Amino acid sequence: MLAAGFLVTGCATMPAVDGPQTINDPLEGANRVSFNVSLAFDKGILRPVAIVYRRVVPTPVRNGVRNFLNNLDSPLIFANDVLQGETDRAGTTLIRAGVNTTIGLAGLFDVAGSMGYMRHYEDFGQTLAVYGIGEGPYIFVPLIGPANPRDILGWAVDLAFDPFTYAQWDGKYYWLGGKTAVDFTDLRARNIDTLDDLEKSSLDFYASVRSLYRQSRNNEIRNGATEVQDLPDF
Amino acid sequence: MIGYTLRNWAARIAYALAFGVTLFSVAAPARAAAANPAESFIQQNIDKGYTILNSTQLSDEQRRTQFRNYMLALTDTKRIGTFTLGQYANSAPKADVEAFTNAFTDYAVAVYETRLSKYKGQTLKVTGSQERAADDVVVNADVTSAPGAANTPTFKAAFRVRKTMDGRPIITDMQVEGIWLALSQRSDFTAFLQQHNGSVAALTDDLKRQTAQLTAAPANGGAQKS
Repeated sequence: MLAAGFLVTGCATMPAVDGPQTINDPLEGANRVSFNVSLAFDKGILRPVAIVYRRVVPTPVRNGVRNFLNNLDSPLIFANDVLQGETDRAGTTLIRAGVNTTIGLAGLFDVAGSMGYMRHYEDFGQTLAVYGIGEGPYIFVPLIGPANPRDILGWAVDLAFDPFTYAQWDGKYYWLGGKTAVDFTDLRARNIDTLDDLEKSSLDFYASVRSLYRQSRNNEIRNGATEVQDLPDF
Repeated sequence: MIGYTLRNWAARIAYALAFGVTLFSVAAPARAAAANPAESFIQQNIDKGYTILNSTQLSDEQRRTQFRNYMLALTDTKRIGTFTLGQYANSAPKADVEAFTNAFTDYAVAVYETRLSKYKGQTLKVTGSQERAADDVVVNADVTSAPGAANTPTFKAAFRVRKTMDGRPIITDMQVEGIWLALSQRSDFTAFLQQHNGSVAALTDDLKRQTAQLTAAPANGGAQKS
């Protein structure tokens, strides 16, 4: 299926990260249509909702919501830490989940962070990259955002693995829908000014988002290490 | 799942946009024992930016002028501007490229100025460096937000320090959480050029329009309608 589109590149110890110079967007025409549709949806619904949310809900409450949602990611982050052989980071994730779930009142407070156990993020898309799987072509998924086949497969695996996917309320999956809606609203609220600024300072917003997505994804895969030899000469 | 993607890129973009600020907004100048000239160059100049930013004796206009001069002395906007044109820098008429790099300088200063008002009170501390070549060093730093800020953790920034012809250190690019500013601008500009038959003159016009918009925009972006 999706795996057919993957390019397996070289050795398994080096993360499969393409140089930042390549554009890698053979589906640009379709992607731009998808981008414009998503942008219209954002401006019509998501952004206005996020503005109201930010105005109505006080900052400490919003921070609690964010901490709570972050804490729910712990099983996924831990599993991917382990799959990537990052034992130190797996330990940090475990300590964070333990401390924040208990002393942090079910994750509402990031107590572990203030003890020096800072949060990091992992997902199965990153794990695939560490295993040497290439990213495949850039894809802007309508209403969801920038991605590539490797990340899309990663979402599917993470969703299937995440124990909270199967949480039910009164026999129905209200929980997953509610969690996703709050998650999106909070994230959008946190980035209102940022995305407004990015759009304002971009000549081609689509190209800016594509570049930032690929650079930041590569940075996550490398766990923040700068590959100085990959930089262009100028 | 879906939310993760949004989280990843949107949060990182937020950091990237704090760029201009990283340079200039330092709540408490951190004097690390710098290990090499490139590292001390970065740390000292950040302290200098801090002095300009927090001076109570300057009018807004004076601060703006000093800030512009400070930034132009610290970075090579001509070099960066030419880089952002990609392969078009070689094929376009020389006069067009020169007009572009002038417009790019104004644009870069405007981008920094607009950010400046938003991200005050961060602390930047040089943590080390990596050498690409003798005259090409990437200096790493941690940026910490003011206490009480809404859930903004420490994030990593980096500065690429090269040398001018006469041996003076100069910043050619800056990075926040893996996103390099000049690389991003090149992606933006070359996409524009691709869609405008490679016309650097058209790009320059658009950049000037963008600069005018940036300098005219109110400080609080969140209050505007889209």
